[in-house]
Amino acid sequence: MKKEIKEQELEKLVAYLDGEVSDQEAIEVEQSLSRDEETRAHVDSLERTWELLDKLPITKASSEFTDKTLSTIKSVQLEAQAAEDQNRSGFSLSKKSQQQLRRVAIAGGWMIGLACSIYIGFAITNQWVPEESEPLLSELSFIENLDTYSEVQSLEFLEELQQSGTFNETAQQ
Amino acid sequence: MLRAKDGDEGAFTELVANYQDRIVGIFCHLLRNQEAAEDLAQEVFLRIYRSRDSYQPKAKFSTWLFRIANNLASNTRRNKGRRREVSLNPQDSGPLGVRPEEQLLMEKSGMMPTRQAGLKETQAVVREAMETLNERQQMAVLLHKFEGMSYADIGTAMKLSEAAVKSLLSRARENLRVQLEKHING
Repeated sequence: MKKEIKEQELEKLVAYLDGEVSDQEAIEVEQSLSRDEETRAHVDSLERTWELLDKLPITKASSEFTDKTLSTIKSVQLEAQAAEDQNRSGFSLSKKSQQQLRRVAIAGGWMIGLACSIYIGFAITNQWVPEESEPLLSELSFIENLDTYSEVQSLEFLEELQQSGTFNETAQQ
Repeated sequence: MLRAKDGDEGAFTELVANYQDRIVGIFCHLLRNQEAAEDLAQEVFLRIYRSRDSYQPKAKFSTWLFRIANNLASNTRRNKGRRREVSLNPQDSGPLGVRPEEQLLMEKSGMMPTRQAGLKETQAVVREAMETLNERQQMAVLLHKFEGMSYADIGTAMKLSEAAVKSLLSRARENLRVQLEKHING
């Protein structure tokens, strides 16, 4: 009856075959192999089945593989380069637009500021500085009759004319 | 790789030429389709090319290369599994246990002893035995057997601890032994 090899023991045996054990572990495995025929047979079986893998066909890359791969890489590289350039130019255009927009905004701000200043200046001037024509306008009727008033010469004479009714007769005519 | 990193295009060509057969060979074993294997190998080199600037020679270049190959192989199998284009490989059959389908294969292959079979038949038997291994076991076996990688390097390539690789390979080799025992004993 075959004895079942425990997982840990199997790991050690396989690692021994693969040269992946320490010197101490190698000694332990060799001792185990020398005294246990079944383990020896198991290891032999593991080794021989492993060698059977050498029978598997070895496939190589086709003759055009290198060229095909390199040209694919080249085209991918060119595409990436083109995309990068496009992104870069797209970015600069928007930057340019932003600069133009900023200039327009600054000019517009200045113009609005100027218009406001003009309006405020006009309002201030209009409200607090008296106009030169204002006294002339208020005294217009006096100025128009200045010659007549000059001929009258005195206020007492005018009062006498009013009392005598001369102005009423003139108005009726 | 360091030369390629510095922008030497010739060095990258050399690198592809040096490693293409190894990568295509591994993928052919895993996918059993030359065209698919070459497509995937091309993707490996493309990824290497893209990440050449960030390459740090911390581990062996081949270990880094096979790490990328392993990731791609895993993703491809996962995607194929999702699309149900191919049948899944048998799952891990446990420490020493054999599943019913594996038992069936053993019986089937037992009818064709190596002694009597030609090379092609032997290859078919070995290939079938390999297919009873799960994805990770297959990759570990291929890296160890055909690339001569140490447990530590396989661990780095497959993102596993050395102890996990040890366990993975022992199970794989035991499964292969069970599958192929009849052929070695005739």
